[in-house]
Amino acid sequence: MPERFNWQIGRPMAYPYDGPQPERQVAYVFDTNKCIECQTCTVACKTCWTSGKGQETIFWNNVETKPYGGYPLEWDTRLLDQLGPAEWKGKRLASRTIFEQATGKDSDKQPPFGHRPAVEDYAAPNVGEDDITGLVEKGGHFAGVHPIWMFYLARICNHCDNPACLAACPRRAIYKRVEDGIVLVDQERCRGYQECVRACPYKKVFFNVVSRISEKCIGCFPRVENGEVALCVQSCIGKIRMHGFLTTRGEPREDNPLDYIVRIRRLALPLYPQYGTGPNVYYIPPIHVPTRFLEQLFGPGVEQSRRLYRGLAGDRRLLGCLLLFGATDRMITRFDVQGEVAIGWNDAGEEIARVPITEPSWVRDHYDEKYDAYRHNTT
Amino acid sequence: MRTDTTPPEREQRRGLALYLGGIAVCVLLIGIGAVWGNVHYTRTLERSRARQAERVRAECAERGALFVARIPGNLPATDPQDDAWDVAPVLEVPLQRQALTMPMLEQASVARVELQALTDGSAIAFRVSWEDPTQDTHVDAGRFADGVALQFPLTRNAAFTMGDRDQLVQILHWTALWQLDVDEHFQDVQDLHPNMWVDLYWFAEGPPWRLPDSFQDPRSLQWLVGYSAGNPLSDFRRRSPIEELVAEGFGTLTVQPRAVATGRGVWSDGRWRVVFSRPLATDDPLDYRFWLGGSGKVSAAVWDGSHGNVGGRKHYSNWVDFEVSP
Ligand code: SF4
Ligand code: SF4
Ligand code: SF4
Repeated sequence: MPERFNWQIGRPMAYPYDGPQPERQVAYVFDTNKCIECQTCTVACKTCWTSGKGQETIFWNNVETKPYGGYPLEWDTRLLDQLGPAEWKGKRLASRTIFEQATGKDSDKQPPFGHRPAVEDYAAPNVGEDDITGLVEKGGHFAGVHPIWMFYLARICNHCDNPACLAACPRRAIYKRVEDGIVLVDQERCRGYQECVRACPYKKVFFNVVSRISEKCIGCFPRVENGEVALCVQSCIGKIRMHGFLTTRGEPREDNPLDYIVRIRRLALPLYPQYGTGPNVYYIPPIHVPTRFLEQLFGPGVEQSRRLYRGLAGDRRLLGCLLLFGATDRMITRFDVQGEVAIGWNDAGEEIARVPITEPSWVRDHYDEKYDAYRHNTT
Repeated sequence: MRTDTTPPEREQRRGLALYLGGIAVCVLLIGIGAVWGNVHYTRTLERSRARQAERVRAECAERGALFVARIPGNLPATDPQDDAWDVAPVLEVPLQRQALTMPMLEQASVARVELQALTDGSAIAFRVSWEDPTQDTHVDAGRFADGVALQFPLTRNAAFTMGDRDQLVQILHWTALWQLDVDEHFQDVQDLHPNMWVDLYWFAEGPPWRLPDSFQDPRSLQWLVGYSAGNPLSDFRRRSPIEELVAEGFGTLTVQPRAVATGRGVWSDGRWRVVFSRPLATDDPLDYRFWLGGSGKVSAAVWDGSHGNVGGRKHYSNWVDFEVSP
């Protein structure tokens, strides 16, 4: 099996398909601290792309509540159970990725290592999962730490560097676009074997019972081709998402917001990097959740990321970059923080976003002479 | 038109009539003779053909090859339960789990198929039957249908492993799901999940939201991407339970746009019986050609849906020889 370097696990790894590296890689940053699980993203994606017959239980975008939630049911814990816990030696993964599992007698053990969810696992997203990890005692209050916690995890296809779905397809019906790294299922070529469904650790390829073939998040490629962010990004109420490109050929650029957040500052982390697919949705971990739990999800960078996040107020460039989230419907490929504003430009060099670091605020008098009225502070 | 004719003319014509009548009688006599001769010839031919066929059949049995018996007319082209199959020669073909390429089938559940074939002189019909206690007819997430395929080499040295580059094979493929599509109606979401409920499908007329009736407005089809892309698997107007394909190695399976094969599969008493039939020869160079009195190779593959068989996770046989009755 050919080998390739996976920077997320700090070492080379076996990957069966020796494809070219894309010219640049579409990527996303999701700030879990800001997500309110309103599911606007889910609905935006579903209305546009998956409201057809056979797509009833298909959600290319879903938002689930951790630690218990998951769609399809137990998508991650089932694989974690089989793989065992990730072991890290510093930033280097010591345990095996899904591509490095031994071929066993059991058909589930053929690499890439995976499992197939059952029909019922797709049937009831979010039902019964919005529970916290314990009961709040009488008189309990927030005292700077959260003994009881939960958080929302918004999930889409990761348009992985080493897609497991692609590697598993015996027909090569899945391909990774060279221009932007978007991973697509060729709808003409797929024969519905569901090998990709089994292989994708994130369970982001779905079987459509009417078309009888597999479908997955298309990364909103028609929008990306027009320089527009994905629908799930554009519609995000919490402005938790940024959509752009990572530099793949050459050094990460300080003025590329994705490079800056992910590669240079390492504020946002990949989800389950131990699987080895090189996922390209990067999460800013929730600051209130125990590190031990988060490290299984996001790898060894959690503490460092949290330190950065807590220190944002004094970190103008990083803060400015985060303020550009949700500031425009177009894809920012270059940014800068100049004085009191963060500015974003697109590929064509047009300014497409300008956001003040500090929102201007006005203090109005208690008594308004013009209207002869008193103002009350209602918050 | 002339009605008045002179006597000499009438005489002339009478003579001509007699003359022509004589010729007609001669032709008739010759014809009767010829028919007699022909019948006699055909009978002799049939006798010798039957003798030859008997010889071929015996040879086939000895060599473990399939003998394609010839029957006069009424080929059971779409009836796997026709009486003709009860007397057709049978070849038992062992199957093995596919473990040559990924993804493999780790556990075999079907040991063998029984292969039979008949021809009426212009078409050929194969019947494959195998034991399967469960009738798996539907597909869903993690759910697969039973199926069977026959493979024929299009080039002399094509490998039984779905051919190789420039070594093509042709494959006839049947699934239990397509049989239901054809026998009943397109197996829709409702057939899988009878209690399902949806508020609406954009631009479709419903309830009952069935394909294709409720989806007449072309705008309602824009979410059926496989169908719009022309993927034959997504064709909810399927008319045949059989598709014809060519391949030149693993992962190269390609549906042939023009298909002539017909057939039908029936499950009863824990057994699938599936008939494939098609003309002996077609004008498509990518169709296998059968010859009366000729021989060839065929191999079979079986999918057991409830055992997770799909795609490469299947049972297959090696090439077996067949000989067509002269
Ligand atoms: S729209 Fe944004 S805030 Fe709302 S659930 Fe989706 S990711 Fe979270
Ligand atoms: S997340 Fe899954 S479906 Fe998406 S590219 Fe990675 S392996 Fe493929
Ligand atoms: S990128 Fe587009 S297709 Fe993918 S989940 Fe978001 S909205 Fe859906």
